Amino acid sequence: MHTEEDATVIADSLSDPPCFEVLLERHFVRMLDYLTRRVGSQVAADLVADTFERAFRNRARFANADGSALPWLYGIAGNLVRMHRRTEARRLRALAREARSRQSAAPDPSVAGGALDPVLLEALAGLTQPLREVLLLHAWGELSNEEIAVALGLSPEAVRTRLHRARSRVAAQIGLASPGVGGPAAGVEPQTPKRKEAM
Amino acid sequence: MTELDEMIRSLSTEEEVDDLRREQLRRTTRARLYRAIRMESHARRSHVSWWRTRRRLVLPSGIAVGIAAALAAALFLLPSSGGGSGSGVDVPGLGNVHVPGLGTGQAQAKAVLAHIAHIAATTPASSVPSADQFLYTEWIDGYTGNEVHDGHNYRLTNGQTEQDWEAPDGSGRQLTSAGFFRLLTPADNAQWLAAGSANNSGAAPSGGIMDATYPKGAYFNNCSMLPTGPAGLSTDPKLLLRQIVAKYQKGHYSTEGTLDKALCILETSAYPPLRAATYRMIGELPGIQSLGTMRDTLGRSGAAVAAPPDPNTGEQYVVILDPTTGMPLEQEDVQANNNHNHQMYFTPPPKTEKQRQEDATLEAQQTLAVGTVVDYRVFVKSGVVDSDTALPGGGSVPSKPGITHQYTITCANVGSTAVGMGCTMPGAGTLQPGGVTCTTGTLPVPGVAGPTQVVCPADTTTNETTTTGTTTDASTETATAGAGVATTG
Repeated sequence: MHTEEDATVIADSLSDPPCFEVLLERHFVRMLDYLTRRVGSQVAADLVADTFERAFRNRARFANADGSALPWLYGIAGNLVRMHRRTEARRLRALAREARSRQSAAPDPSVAGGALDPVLLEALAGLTQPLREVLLLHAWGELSNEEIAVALGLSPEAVRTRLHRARSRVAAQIGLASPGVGGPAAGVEPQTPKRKEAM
Repeated sequence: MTELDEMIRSLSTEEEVDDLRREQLRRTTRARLYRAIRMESHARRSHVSWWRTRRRLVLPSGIAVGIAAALAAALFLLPSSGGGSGSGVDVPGLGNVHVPGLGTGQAQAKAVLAHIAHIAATTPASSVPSADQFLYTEWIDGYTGNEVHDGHNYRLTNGQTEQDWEAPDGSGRQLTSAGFFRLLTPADNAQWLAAGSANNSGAAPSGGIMDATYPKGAYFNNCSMLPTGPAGLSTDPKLLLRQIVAKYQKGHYSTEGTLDKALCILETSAYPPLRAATYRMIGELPGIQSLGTMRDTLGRSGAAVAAPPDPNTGEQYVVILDPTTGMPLEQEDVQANNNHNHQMYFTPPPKTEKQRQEDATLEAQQTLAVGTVVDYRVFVKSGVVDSDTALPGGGSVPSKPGITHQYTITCANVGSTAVGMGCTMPGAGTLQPGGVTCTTGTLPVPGVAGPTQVVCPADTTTNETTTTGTTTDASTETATAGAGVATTG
């Protein structure tokens, strides 16, 4: 299957602006789902529109040799989430409280729904914003280190370091053995397979 | 993925967004993008045409003149509207402006709203649309922004009229009409003139009309999710607040969000007790304040109430109400301060000193003066009508014309599935990769009933070919971005 690369679509949109809608149709669902997990559906509804509008206005700045616009869009979305970082932390803590009360009501984890782990939620809420950003781009955005580097304007090494720190802190807080979380020392950083224009 | 990554990945932090909601949000996002595209396309065209006719006086068309004049009054002469407690301050480039946030407090807001509630409670109920009728709402939507031309940064404000005819089942028609744009400050205008462009003393109508029809269940006007009659919502202000937060804000209260939903009730509800309760509820919202009397963009005078400024953006959500009828006149976001933690972000972040300086300059240019109306929504009128061409109080607009889509499709690997995109086709992105067989055959054009015949002959040399054509849609949802794409047929 062959489709035009995002980079080509963006280049075309400089002279033919309506072309940009192709990117919206291609990446809308992923951006909406990611933002919803980060800040909740209500704020995400605004931010997803902001993301594409800002991307359109700043499209001349797009520069990604590998062609995908996803890291760039995640970067813009992340910047918008940063403006809501307190909302995000508060929300994670509120979810943790909710999960606790559910657990006490139904002590059987299979009934309580293991999907809401209060300790893990609190650990995420306690991370500094830059560390949380890297960790969630990796786990929820499913970006590779290289793509996160593009999204945040960091070097891949800096991404690896931050990811390691974030994992170590969370692992320590939830009582997972730190070596099990992987890190730069292992030298075999697991890579998320690269996606091209996932629909 | 490590074990920890897997745990984080499977965290469920929000209930799933269902498909219907997702499609609503996609439409909203698309509309925002179209607006940005229209604005850019229009700015380009305007620049060209004004350049060519720089010695000629630009004569704007009727309504645009009125709106522009009113807008100028709203933007430059706010304090003359008697903005409450003498809270005007001098702002370079804007003169003396009324500054929300220095208002007269919650007690006064409560008193004003109680007065309006009393009037609303004693106003006879208006009609509610029956199954075969439409609720008509009309407003002007505008915002302030920046555009760069020939290396110069211009601040401008633009607006467009939107008309909705929505049936109780959520279907209906949405017509977005030609808007206008206008340079914001005298300094921008001076720069514009210095660059050799025509005087921008008036407004120029922008091109591009969107005429969309929506199927049952679309609820394209978000307000219509609320009941228009007595059913469903409490007329006790405290209970009403709880219901709004629970039903429409997913339990997460924000003054601004609640005000927004309250406006939906005021705009659409025909049931006086509910309207009265809504005003009383607004008066009880924490931090709500009165800004005294303000004029809206059309120059209409009303009672203004506002939420506290958003700490992230420094913007304040302001609602202007008609004190004699209680109807909302305008909602606007005003730059109340610049002491916020919001920054303009550009990605990728700057790497060189030169890029950093460029970003700093852009950010400075995009910072709006305190008192600037960042965006606004003027409620023009509403009412119940019998068809999607009728206007309340008589009059009509033409029925939806057929819209001709022009498309260009580049076919690769002719005969197989999956091709490139036709960028000049409106909604090109909905032509899903993999969904089109690129031979002589049929093409499912979004919004066009039935398949469309497409001829895409093979080029045996390159196995690649381009075909162009048009399709006409007379019945279903369409939206066209930019000008020159849609023509009536």
